[in-house]
Amino acid sequence: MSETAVAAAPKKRRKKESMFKQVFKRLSKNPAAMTGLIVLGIIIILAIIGPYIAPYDPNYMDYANMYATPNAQHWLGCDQLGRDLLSRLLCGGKYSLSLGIIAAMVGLILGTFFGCLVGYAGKTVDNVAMRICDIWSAIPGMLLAVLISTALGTGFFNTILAMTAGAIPGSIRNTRALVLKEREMEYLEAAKAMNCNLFEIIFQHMLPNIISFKIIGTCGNIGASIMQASGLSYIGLGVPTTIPEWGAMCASARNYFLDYPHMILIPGGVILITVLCFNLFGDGLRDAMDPRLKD
Amino acid sequence: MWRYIVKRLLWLIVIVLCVAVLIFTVLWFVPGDPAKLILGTEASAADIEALRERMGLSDPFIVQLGRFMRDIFLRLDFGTSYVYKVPVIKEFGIRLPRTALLGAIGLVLNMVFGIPLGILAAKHRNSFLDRGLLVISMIFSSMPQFFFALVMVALFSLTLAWLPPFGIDHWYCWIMPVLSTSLSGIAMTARHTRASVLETIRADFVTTARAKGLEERVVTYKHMLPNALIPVISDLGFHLSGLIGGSVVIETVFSFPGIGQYMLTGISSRDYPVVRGCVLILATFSAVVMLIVDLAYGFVDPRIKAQYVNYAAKKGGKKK
Repeated sequence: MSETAVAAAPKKRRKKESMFKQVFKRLSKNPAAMTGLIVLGIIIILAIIGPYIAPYDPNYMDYANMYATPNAQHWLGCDQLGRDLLSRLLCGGKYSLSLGIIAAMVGLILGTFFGCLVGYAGKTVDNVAMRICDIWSAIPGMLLAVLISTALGTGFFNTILAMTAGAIPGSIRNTRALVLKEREMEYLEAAKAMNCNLFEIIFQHMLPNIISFKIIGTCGNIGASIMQASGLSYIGLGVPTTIPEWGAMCASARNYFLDYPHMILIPGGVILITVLCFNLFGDGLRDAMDPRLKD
Repeated sequence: MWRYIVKRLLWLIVIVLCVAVLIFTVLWFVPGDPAKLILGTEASAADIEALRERMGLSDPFIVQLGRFMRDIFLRLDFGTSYVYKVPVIKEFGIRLPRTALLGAIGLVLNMVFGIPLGILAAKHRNSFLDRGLLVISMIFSSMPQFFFALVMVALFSLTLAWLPPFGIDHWYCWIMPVLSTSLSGIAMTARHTRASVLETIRADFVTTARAKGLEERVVTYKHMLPNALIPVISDLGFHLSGLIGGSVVIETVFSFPGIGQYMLTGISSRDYPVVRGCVLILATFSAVVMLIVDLAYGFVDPRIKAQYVNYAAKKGGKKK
């Protein structure tokens, strides 16, 4: 009995160590996910070094080139104020990407934190919290974002707050479902027997077992956040149009679309490609973590 | 089952009440003085003060909240627009059917196209068709709705001149708004259906059905699909909430005179009775449809019904 236990222990540990490698190996066999990852890498690098390689000042208004369509001087053309679209895209990438990433991360952290507490506490706490989530998610996410931006005003951080508000109840629910599965596990009983306090049990013992599931979901959430933020900016309630965030670029060109469609099609296309890459990579990651679905 | 329905209806009322409180509270913090807005910038301070007093704007928060709740839920009075001086409820009478129809068509299209496409992809898995559908659905579900709407405008209104870029007078004016609100949902439903069907194909009860010697057609339609579609159907409520949120953006793009557009004009002119009313009516609409979906789901899935019946029996037993 004890011999088998000893023999089994190192085997298990070795398996656990290589989990990340296994996932990556499976992921690297998935061409769609790898394409997503590579393109995403390029987009992120461009967003970081963008301000240094941009050919023009993103806010410089060249009145001679107003409404210019893509040409040799301005590769992607200019907007209604003669601002170079390529430079604006390069400089605005950091806003769009960080908007999506921060919003998804805040949603992940807060949702996981409260979801763990609620799921582990169970009984009345769980019941009350779930009812609150019901009410919270009764307002469609976009509507809640609109409501909050109306109350707080537009701006980068207010947009993040507005989007996070809609994402939290779903994240809490999802974490709670994972916690409920994990709650009956024996290692938690062991932790309790070791006289761990509530926070140690939840965050040192239970959290590491569910966090990977949460992280997989987050990748798709980043894409969704970028998409939602661009929609919010488009209707004038997200990032103000003075900032070259991609959605705000579309919004500022809104009235000129019928005559100069390139002013929206280009930034919109960049949003599409970015979100697509996040989704491709996220889906690939999910398949790689859960090989049952593949094969 | 009746007790379940009654319980859910009561819960719906609680949700709507809480949402109303939430909306009022959030908008309470918005800076700006409605009295100033109504009277314009040239009004004297005394006039403004008098109007504030008359509108009850100087009352404490809790009194105003109480008045707001009473007006809406007992008198169905959503207030009067500060800007247009028209009762908000009148506008709702005209605009809500449009937005509701947009959402309803979207939801129907979601089921009518999303589910069969997903099944098709799963049945021919790894074929050219499956790959193509996956790629297309991936692209559609990664596209911001306003962008898709504008691409359609560029294609069908500007280049081909087939469809008008705005208006709602003819049925064909609705094509683009409906497509742009629903396509991403259809793509998501198709992907979800595909995954769910693929998971069910491997289930033991499918093997059992085949082992019993049932025809493949019977196995598919009687055993596999009903089980595979349960999670897909339960997601419809989620899609509806996306459709309602999306309609706000889409109505702006197409100048579609629905609730969403009304709300945005309300926001830009700081017309708070309009904003409050619109958010509340849209949230209520989505909550009601979600309830209907949930109840229908309870009827369709015998497991949920059984769960409830057992639960009720246990409760009844305890009471005795």
